[in-house]
Amino acid sequence: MAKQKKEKVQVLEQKAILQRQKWNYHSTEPIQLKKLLFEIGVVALFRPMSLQFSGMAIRIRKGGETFRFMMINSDMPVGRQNFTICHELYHLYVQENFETRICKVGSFDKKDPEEYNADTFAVHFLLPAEALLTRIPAQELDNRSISLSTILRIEHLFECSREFLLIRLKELNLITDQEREQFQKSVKSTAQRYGFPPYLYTKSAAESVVGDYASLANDLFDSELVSENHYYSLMEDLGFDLSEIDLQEDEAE
Amino acid sequence: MTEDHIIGNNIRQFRERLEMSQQELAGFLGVTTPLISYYETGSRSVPTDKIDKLASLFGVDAYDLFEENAAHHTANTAFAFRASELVNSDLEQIAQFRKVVKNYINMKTLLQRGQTEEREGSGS
Repeated sequence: MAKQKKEKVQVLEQKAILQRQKWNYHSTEPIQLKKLLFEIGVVALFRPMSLQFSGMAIRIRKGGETFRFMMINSDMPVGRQNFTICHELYHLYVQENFETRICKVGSFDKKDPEEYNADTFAVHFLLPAEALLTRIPAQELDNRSISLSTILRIEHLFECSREFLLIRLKELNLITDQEREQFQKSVKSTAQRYGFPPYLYTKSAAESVVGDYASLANDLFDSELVSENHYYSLMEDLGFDLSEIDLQEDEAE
Repeated sequence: MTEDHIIGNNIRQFRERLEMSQQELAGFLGVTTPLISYYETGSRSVPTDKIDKLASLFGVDAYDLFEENAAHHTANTAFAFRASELVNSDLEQIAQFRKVVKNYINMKTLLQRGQTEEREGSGS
């Protein structure tokens, strides 16, 4: 196996921007990550896990095709889950010779090159510097005084965590350490005060799925390539409640 | 080598690959640690429901565990993680996730085969 190498920040930033372009996203626009996962054909499960676990990715090449999967800890705030999705996208699409791994994201651990690369890639993929700079009013940039309302607007637009956004603003020298500390306080209540919903700061519903697994199972059943029992077991493995699946009746009006 | 020995040997190899202790595997299966040791040495048979659970954890098909040295020729299961850092419920979720992955690949293969047969059928 090729030796893992910690890439330079600029190289990872470039890879993030190029990857965005490949998927038709400009470096200033927010990405709806679940929609992206669906479009590029990643099967993603959102499941409640312990705090030791952020996410996991698996890439399998078979018969000339590449299949990609990720599992995201739904017990973490949505903003953090989004960072994890970007981290796993690095493993699945950018890293060479990748098969699988379990990740605890956001540590930027330089001793673990590919985890460091994935974290750094995720930063620039989720919120490129250009996207950040174009969202800050000129007057605030001029005075070097970013307002809470700007912070809230950006974090909701890019669906990232407050902690992440503040790190990004600090990196770009747009806030001081004291400001960072200040903005980190009472995140949920300040958002509420400005009329933003709290979903970004709370965990999401467990057991959600992105991808065509269910429709594939359905197609196989319709074409009589799997039995009814097999179909039910495939859906049960995905976490579906069998009592909610009705193959015979039309949905009641 | 008996079937129990082959299965036991495979369990030990996959467990070591995941850097799991016998105690952690016992916790995952809900059995005692000495029983894991008996399974691995082949002195006790592993019940079918435990085989299924182990196969999901290792990311292989249950019948792979009946093949000699399965860990050597199942490249896709080179899972680099330290299981000791995860709690049992995480291992359950990971096993379930691997099951979904395995099902998905099998479904794709089945669909492709079905389409090929349909094409060949309509072409003849």
